[in-house]
Amino acid sequence: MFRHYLTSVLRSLARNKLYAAINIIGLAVGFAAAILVGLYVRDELTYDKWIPGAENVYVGFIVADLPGRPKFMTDGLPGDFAAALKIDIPAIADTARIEPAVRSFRHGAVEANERLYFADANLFAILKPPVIAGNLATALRRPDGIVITRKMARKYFGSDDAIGKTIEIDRAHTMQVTAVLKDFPSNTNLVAEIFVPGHAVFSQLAYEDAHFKKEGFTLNSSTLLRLIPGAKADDVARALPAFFHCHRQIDPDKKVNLEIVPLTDRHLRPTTIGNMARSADKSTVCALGVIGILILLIAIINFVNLMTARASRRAMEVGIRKATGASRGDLIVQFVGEAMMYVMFSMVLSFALIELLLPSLNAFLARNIVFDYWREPWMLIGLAGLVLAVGLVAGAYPAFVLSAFQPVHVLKASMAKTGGRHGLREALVVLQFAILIGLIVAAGVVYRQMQFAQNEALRLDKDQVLLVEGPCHTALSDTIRTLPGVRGLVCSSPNALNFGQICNDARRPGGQKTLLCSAQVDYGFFEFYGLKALAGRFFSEKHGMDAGSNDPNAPRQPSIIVNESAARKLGFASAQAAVGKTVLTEGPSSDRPQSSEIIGVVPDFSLKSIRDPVNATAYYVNTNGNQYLNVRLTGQHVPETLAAIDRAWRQSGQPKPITRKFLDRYVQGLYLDVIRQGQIFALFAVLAVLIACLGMFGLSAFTAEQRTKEIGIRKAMGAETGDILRLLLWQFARPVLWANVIAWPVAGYLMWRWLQGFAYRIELPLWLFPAASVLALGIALLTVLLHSWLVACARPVTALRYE
Amino acid sequence: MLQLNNVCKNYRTTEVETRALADISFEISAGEFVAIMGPSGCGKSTLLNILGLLDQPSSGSYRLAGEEVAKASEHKLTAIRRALIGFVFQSFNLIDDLTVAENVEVALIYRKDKSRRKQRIAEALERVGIAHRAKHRPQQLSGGQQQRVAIARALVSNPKLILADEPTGNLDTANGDAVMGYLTGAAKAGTTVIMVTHSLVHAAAAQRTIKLLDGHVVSETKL
Ligand SMILES: Nc1ncnc2c1ncn2[C@@H]1O[C@H](COP(=O)(O)OP(=O)(O)O)[C@@H](O)[C@H]1O
Ligand SMILES: [Mg+2]
Repeated sequence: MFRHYLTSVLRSLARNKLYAAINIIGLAVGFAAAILVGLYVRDELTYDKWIPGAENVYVGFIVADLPGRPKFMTDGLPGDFAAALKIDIPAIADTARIEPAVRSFRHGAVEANERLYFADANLFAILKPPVIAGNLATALRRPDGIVITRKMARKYFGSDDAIGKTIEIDRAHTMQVTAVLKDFPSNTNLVAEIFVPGHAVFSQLAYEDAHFKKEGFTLNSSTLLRLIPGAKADDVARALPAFFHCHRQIDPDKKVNLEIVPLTDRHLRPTTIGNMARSADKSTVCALGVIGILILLIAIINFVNLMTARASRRAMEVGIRKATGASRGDLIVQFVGEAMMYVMFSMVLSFALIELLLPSLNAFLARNIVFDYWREPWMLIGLAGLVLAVGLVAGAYPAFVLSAFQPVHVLKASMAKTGGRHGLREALVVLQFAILIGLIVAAGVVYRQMQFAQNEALRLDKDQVLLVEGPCHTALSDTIRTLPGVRGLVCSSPNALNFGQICNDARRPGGQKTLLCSAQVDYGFFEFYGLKALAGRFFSEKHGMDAGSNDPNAPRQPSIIVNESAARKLGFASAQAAVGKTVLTEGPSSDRPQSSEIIGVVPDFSLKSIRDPVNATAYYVNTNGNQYLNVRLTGQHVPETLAAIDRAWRQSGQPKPITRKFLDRYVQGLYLDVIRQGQIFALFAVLAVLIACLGMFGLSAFTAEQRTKEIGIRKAMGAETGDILRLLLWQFARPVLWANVIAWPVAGYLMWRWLQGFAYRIELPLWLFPAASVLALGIALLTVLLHSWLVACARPVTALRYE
Repeated sequence: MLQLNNVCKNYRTTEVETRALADISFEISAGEFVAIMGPSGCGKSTLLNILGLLDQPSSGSYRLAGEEVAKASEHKLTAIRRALIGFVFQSFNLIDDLTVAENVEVALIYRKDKSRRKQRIAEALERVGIAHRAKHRPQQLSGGQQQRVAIARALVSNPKLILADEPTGNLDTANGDAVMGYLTGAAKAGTTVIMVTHSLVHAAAAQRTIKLLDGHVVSETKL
């Protein structure tokens, strides 16, 4: 019996090659897309779950929700908390701190800047990543011990066998490798692959411990905790307010809280700043999951539609089979089994597609996701369940409806066979196109916002700007300035471009206090970035006194330039009104507020994410101590110029390797999540279009064929090719038009919500909605045009003969 | 009304070439009622399709209402079909999704003939005695009733030429006689009617009979 069904399926595959290919490929693409999304979402949800015992590890968090300031969340704790938590709260078994830093590493000819974690010696008693060689328990005990991953071992020593070998940090401190870890997968909160003992003399942890101030809030290190066996996170959470009050006099009812978060949940906890990998936005992960499901839905709708459409063509076969004695059960088994077999082919094909696409996806997302389905029985069971479900749904219509027909009706060929009376099928097509239009709108909105983030919102002319971390007004900066490929060079502090911030309370004389950040720049900084003063002027050496004076008794106040937000927050009605006024800033060091004069106002600009508002900022001019060289290249012979800059760096005898980055690449990195979202939406919209087109194509072939007789009659009655074409195209246009009724409000609302997450955002581009609809309609009509045209042009006699 | 000269029709499939019509020549004047007879497969339907401009001859000339149409464009053929011709088929050829009234309307919509449309449909249905079923679907009617609808559809546009391919072939005697009655009535009213039939009795209602055999005209009988 089964052999009979199998041959009947294979024959029908061979007989309807185009139809079968459309059906199987469409579903396979849907499966592949959904599985890839699933793998990605799972990757996001399983951060650090690969570390044995990670489920018992927690990270300390500080959450501040102070009125008038953006909510602040960090995984950094004051350095003294780790030891105190272990003593004060009995449920905590052990704690250890990690603090990220960047240092240069050298072994022989290999030298580079690397991220590392300074870590307390007992870190690996809490966190136990799989190890290749060495003893983790003792690895960080000696102050010159160092733990690296296999990747680092291969980079510096050319082999995995690195135990006992030495590596130099900052060309000064010789360290010995005490353990080699397995390479970290991409789903980890750890941002460094090198661990250096916190009690090493040059360690930042050691420095901060030595300069510890009880009232300070230095949040440069994260604290990892392990609870005693049987203890609950809630036990600890209850004890934390009292602990916080005891150690920092923070009232329990204040809006600043100490929390602990499971390490495995850390990735989806929003963080303003942190010492671990950047958190993912939970709603984006959810949105992706939903999109994966939608794509799958489109593919399944297609498949079901095509299967049922074809099934009604087989009414005759059913009649004959029944007449020759097939029972209803036999027919149900046959149809469901046939659908099941199609779905299985698709699943197998989708596995091949995934193997093909996963490397590109990994490169695109900077992940190393693997698809080892043979090692994951649960995934296989889930996929088998999917095959069963889709096969059942797709086989159900022909199985139950057709098999219930009385053979006599079918054989008399009195079945309704023309288009139009297929409510379910049309509803499914409507749903499919609603999803399609929604995805196109989403892709468009995300793309526009991404453009906005990288261009308009930035306000800086970032073209060909290279940032070099290095000292200013030295032989080095003078050399770089005069290189042939360099157009200009200006110095600034990192703060001027938001690589760090120093903020203090400030006010006008007699005015309200507000938080004002300060940033130090050199002459010509604003001009360098193409900014225009909204009012007043920029710093100028001609004014001599702009830089102020080091003598506190000097008669004149230093000049500052404030941004628009600062002018507004200080209470000035306009940019003009601020010019020439005095601002009092309370520095942390001096008792007396410092008074300065506003000489100009600049537009808000920021390199920080557009998700957050730009800080109110005052810019000071100072030619000393700036650590950032902003270099604008001409754009010609860029590689040669970069090589010349590197050479100048080496020749100037700098103690570290050069750190340089292109501003536009840096900005891209900042908005990588938005850019990726845009690209993913676009990719999925294209996929949805592709699958929907396949479906439309198949459906139109079927419909055209099904309506052949009707078309013949209409032509005999005097219909022209154009009339017939209109008739057929309208049949397909109608569901697309209905789809807008669903797609517009849903996509509009969701994208509006998405935009609300940005402090700087575009208006919802309304023209996108009709544009997406027109696009979807055009695509739909183009795909059905071929078949419709062929039938519409045929001589009426061919059509009538069809019976 | 129409004039055929040496009309041939060949069907070419991959292996064989069938000559369905060979050197057919005859003339039919306006208002004539002609029956075409012959055994199955002799080319009757092929001839009727060519006469009705649903198909074109392989060679020869066909003049209809004074115009040469053997090699005319699809556009031209459609225009003439709209203006002149109504069809009745053996297998009724009604559109399943449309009601009886809508099926009849199909013959009018492409003629862009908007005047008194409802009324003319009602009259046509009245004439074939099926007005009480105007809202039904073809599936809900018997074969005889379906063929009446098809005749109403052919009559509603007042064509100059009605082509009927075995209109009584699928009907019992009573229904067949009724259908013949409507066709005779149309012929009496001045419409040219060309009908394929196997029934000698029905052929007797026509003024002239053309007999076909293997694609040739073997005899013409005028009553
Ligand atoms: N589309 C076609 N392709 C090939 N041969 C055809 C086609 N249509 C009709 N024929 C052949 O032409 C001959 C005449 O057919 P037809 O006009 O339908 O006969 P009748 O209506 O007299 O029974 C037959 O031999 C038939 O097989
Ligand atoms: Mg015939």
